[in-house]
Amino acid sequence: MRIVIGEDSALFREGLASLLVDAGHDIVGRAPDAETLLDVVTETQPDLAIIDVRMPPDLTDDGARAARRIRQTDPGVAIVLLSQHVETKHSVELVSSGGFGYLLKDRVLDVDEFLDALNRVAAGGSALDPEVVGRLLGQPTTPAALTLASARCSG
Amino acid sequence: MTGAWAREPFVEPMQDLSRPWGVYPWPVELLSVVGNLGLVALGLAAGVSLIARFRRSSGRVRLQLKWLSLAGFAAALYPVACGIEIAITGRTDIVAGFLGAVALVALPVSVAVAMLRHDLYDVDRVLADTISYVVVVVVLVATYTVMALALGLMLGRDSAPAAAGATALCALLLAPLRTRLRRTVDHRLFPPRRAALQAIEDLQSRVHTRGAQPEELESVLRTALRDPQLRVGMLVPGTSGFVDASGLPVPDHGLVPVTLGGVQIGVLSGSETTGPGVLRVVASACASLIEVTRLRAELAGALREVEASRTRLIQVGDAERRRLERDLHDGAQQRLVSLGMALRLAQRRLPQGGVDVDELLDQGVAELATAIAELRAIAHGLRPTSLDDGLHAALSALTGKLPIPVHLDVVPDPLDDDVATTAYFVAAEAITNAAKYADASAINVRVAQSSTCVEVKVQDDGVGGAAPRTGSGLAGLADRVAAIGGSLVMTSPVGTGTTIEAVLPCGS
Repeated sequence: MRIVIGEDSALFREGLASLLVDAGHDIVGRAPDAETLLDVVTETQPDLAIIDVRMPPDLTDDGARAARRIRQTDPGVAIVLLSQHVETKHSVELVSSGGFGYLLKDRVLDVDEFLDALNRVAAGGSALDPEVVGRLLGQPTTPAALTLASARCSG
Repeated sequence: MTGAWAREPFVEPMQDLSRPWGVYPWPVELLSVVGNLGLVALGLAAGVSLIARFRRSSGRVRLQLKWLSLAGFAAALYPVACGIEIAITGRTDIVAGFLGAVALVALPVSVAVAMLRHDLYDVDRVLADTISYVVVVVVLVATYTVMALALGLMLGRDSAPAAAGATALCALLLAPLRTRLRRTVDHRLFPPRRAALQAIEDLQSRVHTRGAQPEELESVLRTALRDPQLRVGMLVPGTSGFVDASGLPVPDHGLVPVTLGGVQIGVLSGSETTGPGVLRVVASACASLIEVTRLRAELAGALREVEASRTRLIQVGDAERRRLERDLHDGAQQRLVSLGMALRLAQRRLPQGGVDVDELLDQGVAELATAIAELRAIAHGLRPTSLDDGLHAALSALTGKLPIPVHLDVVPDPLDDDVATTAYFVAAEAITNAAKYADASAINVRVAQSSTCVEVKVQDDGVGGAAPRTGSGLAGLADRVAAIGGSLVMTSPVGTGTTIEAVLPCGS
């Protein structure tokens, strides 16, 4: 799978790239800020873009805004947003359109599940972090809720 | 001239001189009668014209006429005094002579005052006092005469008890008579003054009983004195000059001061129709109302400032939390995730071999050390842990890394935690600013403690001219200092460096 990574922390970016390369994917572009990301995606037309929500230049939700732009200009590019913390603002609108995922950054540490989620999204499915689902349902994230959320995401 | 024809001998010591002419010839007699009648008629005409003009007049002219009437009053009083004195002693003597002299002097003086300086003196007061004193004297003399005569008839002429009784009765009458008379005269002669005093009394009682606002004073006085330009100004801390109850400045001209306990607390000003005399009386009557209004304004101002300060503190707190959240997410948390990822990567590569475990662990530990350092820095920003070793140690740790020499003179006694933390942040912000912007060659820090407060003073020899901006660290500091009841002052004249001084109250 041809993947572009938009992430300002070099450490995380390169670590993620190594993981993905090891898993047999091609990293066709790396971007440290939102503007570069848009250029790189337009240029390389990847299968999937993994984007950090918070990126330069504003360090607010530049990554999420870039994702929305990409969805308009290049609807064929699947998108996975990564965030340091749970928020529902950016996930809900995009997740309904398919080919979209929203995950906490820590999920990367469960490498197999993470790679699964990437594959699912690239195939036109969805991946929504269980914490986000719990927040959306207005319930504490009990193990049962997590299972349910995972089932929905997979379905 | 008629004196030349008089039949009586001259008064002593000229009793032996003979009159040059004998009996009045009839034309002189006629002339004298006509002259005297004419004099009386002229006096009456002058009085009537004065009253008529007074009724038609207003403002300045009215004030002038009041002065003139004062003189006319003295002139009219003269024959009355003569009559009374003749009734008592049988001839005109020192009292009538004195009054005559007063009337003679009063006439030109009051005309002069009316023409030149009618604004200077309180004519209403002078008139009222003159009238009420004269009436009191007349009543007293009449009472004394009647009593002395009556008691003399009963007890015999030149009886000591009669004189004593009459005197005692007069003394009894004097005080209440004067007060009542004064009030009556005031009521009759000066309706605006009376109306104003009445309105003030009325407002005071409404404030007490029906929850009226003392701030209504200005409109109440405007109605009572029929002067829409009347202004009530107060001295309120934190404003320059005088302001009215709604905080608008009162222009600084034609003002009558309002004082309470010898201290000026406000001013009254009116249009030309309201004389300064009336305003002075009103000012002393409404001083307590103005003081209440002033205190209320002061309190409202203090409350507004507290509210604004609290809002700023909340905003500063929110901004601080946002910054902290970002520091944690982008810093330590990111590093820990990266570290986890590196470990996971190593784990996955281990079976394939060819992984430098040693180097990987080194990288991991280095990453971990950075995360720990970042966490420590964040925690230190919340509260410098070096404060546990005392303010001096904390400030030494802070200033040790600066390129500018910092001289520390810090009280060695342990301070309350609140005070020490605030003192630290004041000193730290001031030192940081001096090091960053002041182009200073030395910084002096002095922290001294007295029985009631801790003083923090940071002085640099830099360029000066610093001004605290809204939202700057210094503005935030002022709120932090105010929150524990202290005060912060910055002086920064251009060219002579900046001094920041905080006074923090302490219990010990």
